[in-house]
Amino acid sequence: MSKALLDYYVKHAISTARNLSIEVRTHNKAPINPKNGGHFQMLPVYETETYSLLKKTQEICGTTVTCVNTPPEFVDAYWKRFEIDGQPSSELTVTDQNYCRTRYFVCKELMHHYLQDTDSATTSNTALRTLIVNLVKGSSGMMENASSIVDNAAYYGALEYLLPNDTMPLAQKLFSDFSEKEGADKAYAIIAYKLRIPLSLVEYRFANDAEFNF
Amino acid sequence: MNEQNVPSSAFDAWFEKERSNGLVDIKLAISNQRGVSAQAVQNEILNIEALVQSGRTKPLPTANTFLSPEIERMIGAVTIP
Repeated sequence: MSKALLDYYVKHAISTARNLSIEVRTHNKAPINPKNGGHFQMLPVYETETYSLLKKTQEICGTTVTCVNTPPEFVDAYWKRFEIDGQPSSELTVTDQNYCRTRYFVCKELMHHYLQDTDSATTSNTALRTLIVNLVKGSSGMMENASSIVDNAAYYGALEYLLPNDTMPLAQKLFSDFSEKEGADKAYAIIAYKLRIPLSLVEYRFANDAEFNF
Repeated sequence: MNEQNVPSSAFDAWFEKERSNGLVDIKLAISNQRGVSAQAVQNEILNIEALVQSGRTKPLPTANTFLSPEIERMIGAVTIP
């Protein structure tokens, strides 16, 4: 049951993020299915000089992003959705981290705007306690409730947004070329640096291509 | 408020206050660390909320280091069919 629900939400998150990445790139006149390295560019999350995922989200829901002046102990970020007289708004809070990690966590939390539904909403302190316990446990495959599953699925959405499936052929060619010259570790690092996403995400994406390749 | 929603801690009280302000959903990004307790996470959220309330915030980070021009040139030279 939970595995089927997890698969459903992960595919939903990836598909949603795929559409968002296309929309943002189209708005910025950036190519989809890039064929040359000159077009291998980071996807804007909250950067102000271009159309970004945050700007797109703010067009449909009043959204603020606040970075607190302290590094995380355990909490990287969180997202709160409000509805007052039928009007939605949200507050996203992120702890003080480096640029790449902040982009990733802001992206992950913004994904919830597009994944939220009444089944997965955290609506009681009991539900919130369960969500925290499940996230601390960190084994999404064992999770039984939709709130926890959606919270994990959003990570997949963030990764798809930051390194879209249509960009993977070019990323794989870059990896192949740089691996020959510099070794695999350096090749992953160059891709991560260029796209401004955490190195561990690039390694995860390359090692789990099948999860995203649909 | 049903029995399950009776505030039993400062964290529960905070959550109920947020709910009374219109909160309908919350999601979290938590680093999985061996031995961390839910209570520690709750306390950190309360601390973060206090920081926000007191204005101890900062601008979102931006890029301040870059790949070398040589690496950028090599990336730009790569093509696929």
